[in-house]
Amino acid sequence: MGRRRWNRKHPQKAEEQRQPRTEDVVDPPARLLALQPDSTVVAVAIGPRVTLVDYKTGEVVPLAIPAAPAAAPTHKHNARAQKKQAAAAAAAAAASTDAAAATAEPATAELAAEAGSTAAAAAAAAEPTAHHGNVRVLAFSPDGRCLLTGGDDKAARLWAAPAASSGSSSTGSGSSTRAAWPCVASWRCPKKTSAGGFSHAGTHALFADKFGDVLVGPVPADLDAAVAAAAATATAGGATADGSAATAGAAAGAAAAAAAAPSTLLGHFCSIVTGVAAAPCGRLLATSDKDYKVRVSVLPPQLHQISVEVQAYCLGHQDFVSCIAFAVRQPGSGSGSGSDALLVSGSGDGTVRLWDYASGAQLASYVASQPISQPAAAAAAPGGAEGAEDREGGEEGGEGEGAEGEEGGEGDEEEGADDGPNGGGDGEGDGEPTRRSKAPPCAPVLSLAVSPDGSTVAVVVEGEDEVQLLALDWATRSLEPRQRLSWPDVRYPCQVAFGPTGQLWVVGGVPLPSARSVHVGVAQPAAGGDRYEVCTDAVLTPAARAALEVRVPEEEAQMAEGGELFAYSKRYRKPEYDEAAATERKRHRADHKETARLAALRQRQDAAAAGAAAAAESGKQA
Amino acid sequence: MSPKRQREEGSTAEGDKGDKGQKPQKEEVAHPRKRFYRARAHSNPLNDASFDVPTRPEDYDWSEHYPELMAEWRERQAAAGAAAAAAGGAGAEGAASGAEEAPAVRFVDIGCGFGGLLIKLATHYPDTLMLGMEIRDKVTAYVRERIAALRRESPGSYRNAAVLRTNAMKYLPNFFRKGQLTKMFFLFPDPHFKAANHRRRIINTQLLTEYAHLLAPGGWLYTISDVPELGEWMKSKLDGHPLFERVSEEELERDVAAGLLALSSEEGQKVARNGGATYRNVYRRLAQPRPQE
Repeated sequence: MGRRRWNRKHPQKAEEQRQPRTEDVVDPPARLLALQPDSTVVAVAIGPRVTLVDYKTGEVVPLAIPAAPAAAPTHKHNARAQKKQAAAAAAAAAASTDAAAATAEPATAELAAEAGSTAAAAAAAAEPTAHHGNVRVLAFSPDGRCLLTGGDDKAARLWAAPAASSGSSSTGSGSSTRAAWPCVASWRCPKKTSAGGFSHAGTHALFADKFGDVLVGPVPADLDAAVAAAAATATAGGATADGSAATAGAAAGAAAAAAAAPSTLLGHFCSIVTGVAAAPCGRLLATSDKDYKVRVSVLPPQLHQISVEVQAYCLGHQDFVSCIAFAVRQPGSGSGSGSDALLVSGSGDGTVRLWDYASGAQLASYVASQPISQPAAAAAAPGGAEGAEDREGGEEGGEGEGAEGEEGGEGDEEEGADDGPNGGGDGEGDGEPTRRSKAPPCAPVLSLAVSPDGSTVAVVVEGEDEVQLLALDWATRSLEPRQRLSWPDVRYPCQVAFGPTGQLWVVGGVPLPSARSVHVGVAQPAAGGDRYEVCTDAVLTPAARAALEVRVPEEEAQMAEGGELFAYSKRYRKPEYDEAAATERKRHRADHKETARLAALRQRQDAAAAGAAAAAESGKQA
Repeated sequence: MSPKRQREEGSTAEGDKGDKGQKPQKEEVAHPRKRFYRARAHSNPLNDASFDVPTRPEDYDWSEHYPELMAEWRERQAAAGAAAAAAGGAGAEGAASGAEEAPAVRFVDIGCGFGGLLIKLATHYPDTLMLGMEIRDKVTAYVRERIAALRRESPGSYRNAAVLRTNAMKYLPNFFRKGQLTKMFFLFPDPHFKAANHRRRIINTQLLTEYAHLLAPGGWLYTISDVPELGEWMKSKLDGHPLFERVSEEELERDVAAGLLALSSEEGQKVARNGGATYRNVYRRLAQPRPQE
């Protein structure tokens, strides 16, 4: 039956379906971190905002966010409804922000044609953000000139540094404000963006969406010209933004940089792609998805074509793969033979694995987080036994610097809190033949990063405050734990990255859906050794720190009360349905009876045949 | 009731399978009756529910599906190993050089439905292992019962056919190694008429890359449909993929499997009953990709 007729017949169900889904609501904003190669700029993203700060001087590098173009209606039937919604939003925005913001808003916003653009402009003026939805992808190009961001608003944007301030950020720049980075390219994805990166040469931006397609957008070859063009349209749009005609002009100008369609490179069918990494040889691309697979594909000669060949699948993980990275061995270090690059992947089953990506063979596996439920322990008192196990595991490995005593205290609290969500998931770890992970539930590996010299891998496990540092041994091609490092002021680390000079950066924050806090920490290898020590204050100037971090004390208290511990990885796990109802429903299936009848028939036939054979034998013998 | 009379009754009963007038207590039917296994034609392939998928192809135990063949292979391995060791040569070398590969599935029928093509192919290619993949639970149960009944009826044949319930669009690389298959069949796939659902069609560019990964170079991919637009779509996607090349009509005349495409499956028989036209597209997997535009 038609959609409208169904809506009339089931008004409550239709209303329920129009509400935002629970998974969209509880998704905490991911904190992302990226470091510009060959420079001292660090980019941090939380929710829809992206902040770039030069951490040596503390100045903020602004992003010139284009004025939002008129929101095109998603479907022709929705145009009227969307215009009404936009008008209502504009009225509310106009009422709340009566002071004129940077772009002057027209006083009356009833013009139906303009309602969309002015509402968006009003919203953008109130809070200009890089994306309208949560930012999920943040990556610098290999030469450091461009920044790729992708978000839940189904768009991927490329920002480029203006020519003057790119390259060296040496003492020459005495001006207090840096030139803004304009958006030189913007692409529409069919679904929300979930992972991204650059090709090895930096000529193309690759981003993947939640459906599983990996899309390619070309980086404009002549970046300076593109930057100039984008900057020109932005300023022109901003200066003349009052009056309906001018807003139309601004919309058109912004539209010039907007919404190109990217070409599709390859696809993991219907699987959220979680990581995109280009191999150092320049010929292969590794992509990982939530269906436990890592796929290494051969790139076509030109990146706008399709990738037709799969090099290998790296199969072995028991749960969604959350992050991948290539480890490149520095020439001249060590004497191990074999390839100079290996693939490292971290997954929801708590392991970090090392792969020879050309053949798909697994070389090593390191268990970063112990499975939480052991059968024997689960039979006994669940809370106490599991908490005890985890505490032991954490303490025996804990050699990190920083407030170790404080860490131990908070460790208990965390383990106690996370029994709730995982005690529920216990019962269906085995038994039902689902493609859900058969591995016992444990804290997933959230993010990993490989140091530039290829010797260290930093691993973030969700829910733990300690970042584990593993030594990657090229001679034996294995991963050994080396150190567990925690920062006194960074809670719930979310992502790690290595800076160009080998410093280890971490960003974290309370994983609540409404959280705004961002904690940043830095560590560097101690002189003469391979241990890392915290050096946040030494590296970040107070101004930089103020620009990057947001501290909201009451969020920690909220988290302790009832925060969901594995909130970041919920989006990769399947929603859990009621098993009892499903089995009940299936019990009365018609084909079960027929199958049972056939099985009984065969048993009778076998018994009869065996009886006849036995009778014949005894008859022969007698 | 002796086994021999059962088989006769079973074969006559199969002739009027859908006959509801048959009294249940008159005779025992040894073949599964299709009316208990009817299911809707559509099952959403984007669902993730209830599949037992191996982590890697090497981890999967095929003896559950081909018990006799795998047992025979293991006996041959053991015998070869014993013979090599007895012959005095280093046991490891002898076994390694003389060992035959484990029997591997070579033909795959994606969306095999009620198993018509599988059954026909099993007799034409008795030495090749073939697997049918179907997403619907009930229909897979029917095919499983049918193969079991056929194996009992004619001992020694149909040992090479089996069925698996899985979502072929997502989990094929988990079951098969690179280049393992030599033929893939897509008979009367779901057309998904709405433009928004075109991405669910089983032949699309991204999935063709995966199929090319699993097909050995020179392997054939067979498709047939009774919907003209879908035939056009599949032809254009296959033509547009650099690793596939159309097989000429003369070769198709000579090929046994191509001749079976139109009439062997239940869906094909229904199309013939209704007098519809079928559109057949058979392509070969190339060793090297053709240059793209």
